[in-house]
Amino acid sequence: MAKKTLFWSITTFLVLIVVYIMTTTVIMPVVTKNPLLDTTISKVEEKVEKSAKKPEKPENQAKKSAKGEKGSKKSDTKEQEQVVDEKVTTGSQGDQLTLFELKKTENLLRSRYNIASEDSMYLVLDLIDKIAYIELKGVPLHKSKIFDFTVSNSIRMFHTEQLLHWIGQPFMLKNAISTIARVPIAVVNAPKDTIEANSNTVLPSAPVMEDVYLILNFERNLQLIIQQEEKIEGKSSVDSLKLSYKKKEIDRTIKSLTTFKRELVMPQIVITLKKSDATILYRALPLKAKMVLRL
Amino acid sequence: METEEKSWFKKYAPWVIPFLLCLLIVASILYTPQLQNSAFLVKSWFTGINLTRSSNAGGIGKQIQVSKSNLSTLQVKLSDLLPDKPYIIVNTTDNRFELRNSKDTIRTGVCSTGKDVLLIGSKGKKWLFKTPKGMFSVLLKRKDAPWIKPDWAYIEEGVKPPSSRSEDRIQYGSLGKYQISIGDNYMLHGTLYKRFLGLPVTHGCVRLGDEDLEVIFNTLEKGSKVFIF
Repeated sequence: MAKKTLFWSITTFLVLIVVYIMTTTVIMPVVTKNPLLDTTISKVEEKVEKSAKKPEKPENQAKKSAKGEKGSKKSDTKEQEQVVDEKVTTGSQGDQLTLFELKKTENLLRSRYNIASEDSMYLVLDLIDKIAYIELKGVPLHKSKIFDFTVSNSIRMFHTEQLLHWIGQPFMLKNAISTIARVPIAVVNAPKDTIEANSNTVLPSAPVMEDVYLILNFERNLQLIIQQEEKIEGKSSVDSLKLSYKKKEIDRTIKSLTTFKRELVMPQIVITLKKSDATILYRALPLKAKMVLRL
Repeated sequence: METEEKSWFKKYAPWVIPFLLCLLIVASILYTPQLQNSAFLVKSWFTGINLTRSSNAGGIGKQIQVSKSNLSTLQVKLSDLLPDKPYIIVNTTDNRFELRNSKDTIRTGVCSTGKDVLLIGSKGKKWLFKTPKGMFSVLLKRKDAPWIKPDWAYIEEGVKPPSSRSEDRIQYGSLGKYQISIGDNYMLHGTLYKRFLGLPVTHGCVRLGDEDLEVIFNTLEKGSKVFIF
């Protein structure tokens, strides 16, 4: 009897492992709702093939870029740039990686250039150079060093083309949860007379820096979490925010399990900044801020 | 009857229970984003990271060359976006400024920006003392201009505002030696309260120290950009 139980226990355990592996490697990639759909990629490929029929010589490009000083501001962007072929062609692994990195940088610059025509401030997140900065009209306003970052596995597993396409367009902020107020406005009632005004007078002091933890949800299901580098002291609002967010997540999961409505994969990036930098970024960005990403 | 049930359980339980467990695992992976994320890691152990998806005829070397060329073009385009004239950047969170000439920093220092207060008057009238954010241009540069004290300044002191044309409203020296107007009655100007520089104390304008203000006044031209964030 004991042998039989052991046999079935081991068998069950092995079956579970096999099922888990099969699910992750075979079933999930097929059925999971990925933010990057193959259809969008094929559309890009078609567009690229059409526009890449008349490529410009690289020498001419170099000449143009050398000439491109102040006078080139109004020139047509289409004339100056070659359309990037989204496909990574066969070649050595090293060449492919070089091309991949070049295209990511190109994506970042192109997105920054395109977004610069808008009136709002935007966030540039460069995980390769470990820098986050806010920019307006192409002018970098404040640069922050990223001390540490993690990128979720779902992003790592994107194909190169998918990744390039995914980060090719700026991400728009959908909503944000934070431990600090975006606009810390204090409401004051006007004093009735000079006596009341004088009694209310308080010498100004530097604002207290609260602990910062930001959860920014962008379109294409990207979630950016900004946490502070400084140690959190005692019981803080950060813990309560994390707890309330986890509760919401669990509720969402239970709801999706009970209603058989699958959730999209949520690619997540967690970055660590100085507390002051995180505050500056959050307060500078508009409600529907855009973000340009390089990773 | 009981024995029948027992035998049924004995017969099928070893298959049904693992099957249900398998079903639970599959469902939980498929329905929870967090588990999906961990599952991607497991997938990577077996399949590796996908560098390429499709192959295409054509030299990779040529593509690298084209990409490099595009990069230099885009870099030139982006540098073209920087203002031609010197410009100033004001940080309202840290209450600091940076005066720049194209890419180089000319001067940095402390300033005072809006105190983020909403003042509610007796008749329900409201004033928001906040420095606006965005890109502005220098519209007017003035020296030793008087300050025409607005209604809110009186209301804040608990005093009834005089008539709009009253000479009591005119105050000399309150705005320092130089004033740089950026529109909507917002200015970069000097202050009598230098001990408060670096703190958010203003009614929306940007206050600067005398030396910084002089350099900024002499550097910025009419039309120069003022970036506030």
